[in-house]
Amino acid sequence: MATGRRVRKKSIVKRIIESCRYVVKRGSDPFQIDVKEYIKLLRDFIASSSSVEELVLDLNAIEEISRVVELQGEWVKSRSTKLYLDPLLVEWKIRNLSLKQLASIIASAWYPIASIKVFTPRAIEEAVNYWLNLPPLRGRWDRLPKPVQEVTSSSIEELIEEKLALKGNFTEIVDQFYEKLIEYSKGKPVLYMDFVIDKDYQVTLLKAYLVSFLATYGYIDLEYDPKSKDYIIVPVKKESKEAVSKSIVVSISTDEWLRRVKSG
Amino acid sequence: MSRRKIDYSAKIRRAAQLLLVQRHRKPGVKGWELKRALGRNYLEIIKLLDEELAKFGFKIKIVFQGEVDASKAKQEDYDKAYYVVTFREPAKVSDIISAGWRIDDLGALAAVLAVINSRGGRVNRRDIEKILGEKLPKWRVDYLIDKFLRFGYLEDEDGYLKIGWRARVEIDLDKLSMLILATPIKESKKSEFEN
Repeated sequence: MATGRRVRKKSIVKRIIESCRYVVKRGSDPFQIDVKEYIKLLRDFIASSSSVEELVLDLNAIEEISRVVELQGEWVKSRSTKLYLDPLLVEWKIRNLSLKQLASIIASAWYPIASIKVFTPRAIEEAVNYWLNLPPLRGRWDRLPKPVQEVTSSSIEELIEEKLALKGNFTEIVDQFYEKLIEYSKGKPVLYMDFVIDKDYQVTLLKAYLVSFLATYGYIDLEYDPKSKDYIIVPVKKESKEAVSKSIVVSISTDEWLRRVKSG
Repeated sequence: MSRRKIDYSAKIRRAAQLLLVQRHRKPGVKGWELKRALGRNYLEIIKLLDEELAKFGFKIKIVFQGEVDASKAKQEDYDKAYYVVTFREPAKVSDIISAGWRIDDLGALAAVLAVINSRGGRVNRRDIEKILGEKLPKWRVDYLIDKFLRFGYLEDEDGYLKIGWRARVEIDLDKLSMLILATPIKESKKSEFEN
């Protein structure tokens, strides 16, 4: 069979599966599906299917069609045994009735449940035990942590020294980091882990953090490479801001970092 | 009084306690629970208790599991069914309002249940939000749907709303839809209930 015909066949079978699934999932009118036509198409396709993949797809389509036929049976049964009301007519009436009218209608069809909630002897016993074992309020307050006596302040230099803050303007840091990336990659795609992993764990984390900003700002694209089981950083032009929003989670645990540093 | 009569009246009292006093999160009891407490002939006791409750305007409602025709129900279906005491006649709007319902909450519930019932029992939540959104502000629509779900009038299944256990017990859905179709449309101000 010609490749073009195979592709066309595959897309038709996929469409059959999707439309059947849609009807079953939404619970809409199953008679929207032309079962006879679908079966006719599948019969032609099954005869020409040669690969396992094609046969599995055909079987999936038959399974989905059988679900639609089952649903059609249920619909016929439901409409013949129950009171059938046209949904469009019901919705039209609801749209045109006021909430007050609807409230008085539902009250005419409402038979509330009658039940009594009581305290059982066991519940009373549990309540008494709880009360007797409850420590005095003063005792419970003592368990709260004592308030911090002294509040000290740190300067930005001290925070930088303790590596709790970054030195310099953040936008400039991101810009410089982007330039480093371009220099490293020479504008070509590079493996995420190759670029991010550093001999110092803190630097590794900082690089991962900045890469995430570059991706958010649209300076780079992240693509998954199944061969290396790693993401690839693809530098794009700075002006390119039209990026599709997506989230990628990359774990850099100390174990993973150590393994990579050791393996060089 | 014969021993058999004494035995029956004691069982009727026990059945009334089981049905009226809420023991679980949901009111009412299962058939097998009644069988265990009242014996194999529990359906006879239930019938007698129903006659007694009728004097006070109550009735025992039997809700079968799945689609069971009451006239063709077997003993097994009765054992699996759910028994609950309800009003024998519909409630008055004033009674429902004094129980804590707002009139626009009731109207919204009527609309939601009638739409789901007419569409085969399962409707996308967004469709319901759209219908209610024509009469109520968005924040109130979300609040009401969550309230109906919490109270058991609706059930959520992967973003699709279904009729909940409480609505199946308390509301005659076919009657509701018929009444909606039969009610003449009046000119009403949309903002009337938006407070």
